[in-house]
Amino acid sequence: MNRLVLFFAALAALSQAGFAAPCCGGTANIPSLISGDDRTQFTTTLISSQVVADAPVGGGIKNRKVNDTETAQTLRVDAATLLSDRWQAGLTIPMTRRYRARGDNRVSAFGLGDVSLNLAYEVIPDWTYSVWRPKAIAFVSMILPTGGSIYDAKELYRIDSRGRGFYALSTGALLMKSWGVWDASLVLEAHRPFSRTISNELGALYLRPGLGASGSVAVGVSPMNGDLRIGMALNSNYDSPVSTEGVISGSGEKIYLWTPSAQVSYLANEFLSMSLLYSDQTLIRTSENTALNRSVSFLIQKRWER
Amino acid sequence: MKTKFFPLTALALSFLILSCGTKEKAPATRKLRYRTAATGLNSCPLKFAQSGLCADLQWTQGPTVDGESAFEVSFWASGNGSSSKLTEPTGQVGAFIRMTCCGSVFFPKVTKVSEGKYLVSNVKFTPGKWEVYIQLKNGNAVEKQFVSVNLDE
Repeated sequence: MNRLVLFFAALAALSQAGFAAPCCGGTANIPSLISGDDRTQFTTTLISSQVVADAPVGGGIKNRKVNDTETAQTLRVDAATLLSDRWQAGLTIPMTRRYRARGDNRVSAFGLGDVSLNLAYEVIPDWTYSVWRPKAIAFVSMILPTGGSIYDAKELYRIDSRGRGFYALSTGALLMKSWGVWDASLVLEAHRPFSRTISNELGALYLRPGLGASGSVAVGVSPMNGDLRIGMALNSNYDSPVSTEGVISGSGEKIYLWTPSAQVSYLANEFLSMSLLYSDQTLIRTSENTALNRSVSFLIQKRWER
Repeated sequence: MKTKFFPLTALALSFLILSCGTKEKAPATRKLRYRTAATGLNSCPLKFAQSGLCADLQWTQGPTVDGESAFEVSFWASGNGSSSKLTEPTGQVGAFIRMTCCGSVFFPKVTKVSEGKYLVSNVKFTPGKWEVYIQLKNGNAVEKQFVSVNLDE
C-alpha cells in the first residue's frame, strides 16, 4: 500500500519537472492531479533554479558568462479536489522572484506567474487488477496570462516577465502503472495558445502563437516496499513559432526543450509526503531557442482521504 | 524529528548543487555589432521610396543589453538631397524593435528633436539578434526600414 501512495504522491512532481525557464515560469503544461485514492490534495513546491546556459536557434549550448547570473525562486501552490467519483478540479498559483546580475547591474522582480485552472476525468479506473492495463486520467487546463511575459515586460533584461503572455488551452492524459516495487508513468499533452493584439499609435500588432506539445515519461522504484521512492523522469516540450502581423509581419523560431530529472520521495505518513527533485536541462543537448536551467524543487503534499 | 530534519537537509543540498556548474570566462571587452540593412548605400542608408526620403540613425547610448539604449534618426530628401540639410517627414515617425528568435516586438519612446531629427529612447535589448525599425506612416501608407543589431555575445 505504501509504495502505491508514494507513487501517486511522486506523480505530483511530474508537473514540476516540466517547469519552464524563469522568463516563462508560469505554469507547467502538466497539472498536478489527484492520481490516488484521495478526495483532496494540496501541494506546495519551492523551486530554485539558475540559468546556466542558452540553447541558441539551431541548437547547441552556450554557457552563461561568469559575470552573468540569472536565478529564480518559485513558490507554487496546487490544489485539487474531487467533484465526483471520477471528476476532479484543480488550481495552480505560482509566485516567482527573478534575479539577474550582469557586471555592475543587479535587477530583480517578484510577482504572480501564470495561474491555471484544471479539470480532469479518470478515463480508465483501476477498480480491478490487471497486469498490463494502466490507470488513465484525461485533463484539460486553462492557462491565464497573469504573470506578464516578454511581450509586456518593461524592466531591464525583461526581469518582470513571469509568464507566457497568452491565454492557452491545454489537454492531455496521464497513464500510470505499477508492478511490484516498480512504477512507470507517461503524460502526453498538447496546448493551444490564443492570439492577442497590442495596439498603440503605430497601429495594431497581432501576436499569433502556434500549437505546442509536451510529454513526460517517468520510472521509479520503492526499495524494499518502504517509505522511500527513487525515480527518474524525462520531460520534453515543443512550441511552434510566434508569428506577428499588423505593424510588422514575421515569424519567430520554434522552441525545443528537454528536461531530465531525478527524484527522491518520502512518505511521512499515509497523507503527507515530500519530494526532492533535481533537473538539469543542459544534459540533453538538443534543446533549441531557450534558456537552460539547473533546478532543485522541494515539494510537500498533504492529502485527505475519500 | 525525522520529518523536520528532512526538508532542511533537502534545502541545504539544493543550494549546494545550484552553486555548481560550468561557466565561460567573461571577455575583457564586449563587442557589440550592428549594420544597416541597406549595405553599400552610404548616401542613403535607409531609403523611404514613397516618401522620397533617406534616413540614418546614430546611437547616442549603446546599443547595449545592460541599460537603456537610445539613438537619433535623421531624415533628408533622397536624390539631390543631402544629410546636411534635414527634411521633416510629412507622416508620423515611429520606431520599434523586433527580436528575431521570438517574434517579440517592443515600442520605445519617440521624441522630435528638431526638423527632420528624432530621438528614439527607452530602447531595452536582451542578448540576441534584433531588428531596429523606423516607420513612416501617412494615412494608410506605411513605410518601414530596419537596421540589424546583433547583441548575441
